[in-house]
Amino acid sequence: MNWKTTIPLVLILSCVFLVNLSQHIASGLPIHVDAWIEVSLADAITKQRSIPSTEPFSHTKLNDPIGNPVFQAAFSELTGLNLLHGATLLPALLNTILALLLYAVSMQLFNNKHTALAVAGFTPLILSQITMLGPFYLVNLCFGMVLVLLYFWFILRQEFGLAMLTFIAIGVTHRSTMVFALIATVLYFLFNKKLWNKLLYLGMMVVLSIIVFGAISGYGLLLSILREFMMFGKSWPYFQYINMLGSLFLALLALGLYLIILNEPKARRFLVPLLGFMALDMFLYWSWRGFFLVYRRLISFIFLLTPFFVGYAVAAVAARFKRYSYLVLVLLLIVLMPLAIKQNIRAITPLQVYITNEEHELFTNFGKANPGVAVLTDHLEAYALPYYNLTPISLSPGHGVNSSFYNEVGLCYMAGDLDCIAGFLNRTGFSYLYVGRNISRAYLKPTYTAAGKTIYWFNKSIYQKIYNTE
Amino acid sequence: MNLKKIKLTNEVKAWLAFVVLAFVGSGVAAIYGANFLEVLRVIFGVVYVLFLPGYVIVRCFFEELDWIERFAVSFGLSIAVVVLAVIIANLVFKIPITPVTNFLIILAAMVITLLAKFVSKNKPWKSLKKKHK
Repeated sequence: MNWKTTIPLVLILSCVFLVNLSQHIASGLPIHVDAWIEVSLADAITKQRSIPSTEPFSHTKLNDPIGNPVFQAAFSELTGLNLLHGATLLPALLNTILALLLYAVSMQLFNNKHTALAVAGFTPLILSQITMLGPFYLVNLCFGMVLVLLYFWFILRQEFGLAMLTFIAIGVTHRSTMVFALIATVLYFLFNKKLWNKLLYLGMMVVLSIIVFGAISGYGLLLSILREFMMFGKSWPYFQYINMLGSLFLALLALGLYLIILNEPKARRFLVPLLGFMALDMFLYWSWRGFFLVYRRLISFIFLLTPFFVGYAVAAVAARFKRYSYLVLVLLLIVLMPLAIKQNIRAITPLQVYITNEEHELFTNFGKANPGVAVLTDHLEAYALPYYNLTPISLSPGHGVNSSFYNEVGLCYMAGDLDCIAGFLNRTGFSYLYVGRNISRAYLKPTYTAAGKTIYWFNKSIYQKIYNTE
Repeated sequence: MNLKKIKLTNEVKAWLAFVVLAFVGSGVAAIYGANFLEVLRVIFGVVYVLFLPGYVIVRCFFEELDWIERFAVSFGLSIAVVVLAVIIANLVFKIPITPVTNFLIILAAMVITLLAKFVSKNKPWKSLKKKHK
């Protein structure tokens, strides 16, 4: 065991784990609606004891990949931790595994322990921006990033059997990661003449990805993505990579790119074309043109490539000091890693807390007392309700759910227009309402209060008397 | 049996240290009010789901790796194996997803790996070929 590598690596892993955990442990609840969707799906799996064919929100066909909720369910059942505690612990564990895999892939690319150590040290540069998500959240992309690094490790070692197994696992876990893995493989084959006799494998990958994609999402979605790819439909930019990375890390990335092109034949054939493709992707993105669904999700993977270039640059700078190279590397990591963490934490603010601790207590108790009851809430909070044995009514339409009452009541709810909401309740026959604040209306009766939060019951007859409607 | 003859490799020592630390950690947590068995279940559960299935594959088929790479690949591969094994067991063989079946499904994946290693090492088809000739 090489202690010179082991001790700094253990410190890096501990740091990555604790930084991620500290962000989650404060609330102990998932902090993004997408993470709540996965928790609700995992909850449905544990309750039904099988993989559901419909999602638990509007009970229409499940179009989401099931890898993440299946893993969460298995993790929860075997550790005995409930899903919410799992959702607190798993992002930190997955982020630490990501750091370890960055080390392993770097060893395959650069065959140098110091460089691999530096690359692992820049794991925090895999930024988590709210609309693009990332490894901070317990979402499919987080699992996808772990699995795609494993896939790269097998591809670089030419272990095609296990690479194929990992590719299938990616396919059932995250669609965009599958597309990214496929693009990376095509580019690596293209720039690596030695692999041209393995084109059969590449063909199998293409066929397999089409089968997996179609089986999970239906071929209609695949065709629409291809059509958008051809048509270059417009999409809105969600983030500025350069601003988020900061000028220091951008300069190190450029230096790393230059040095890799000069010195590292294996990495040159693998990382550089992939970074080039991502740069083209970003250029299209910045000019507001590009295919929407896979396209904007795909860009997150530029963050996954960043540590390789930045880490290589830092290790190369340290190597210039010959006898003291190890010491310089450790010092550089001590200085630069906190800066990378700062960039990451800046990127993940403001936190999107959809269920507060008070609301958690309220929904837990109300769900136990009234299992299965439909409650009108915020269209994003609604995705947490199945976990509490409650039925959501108005659901955000941007999360793969086919039908909901969002069009009828979503805007009333966001505007806080109680009369409009009451009109909806009167028309549809739903009775329970949660708005997150205390309200006073003759037709709304506080029916359940916990932790200072209240669920109201809609009294239809009083409403009809007041407004003279039936 | 002469116990002195049993050689403890670094790996065996590491596993023994893990088991001891898990018990000590659970004991310390119990002093602070946690349930000893629940803490122990969390520790062994995390290792069982997140490390062991991949570790068995890596140990069987990648003997030359250093311990860091072995750890890294074991973790990643465990996620892939657990996801695929549970999905196949449930969708193809209609096995319900419960704590016991999950435990057995992961155990089966590890046993299959060990069998694959045994078969590939001994290559019984080669001896069959020879006999046939």
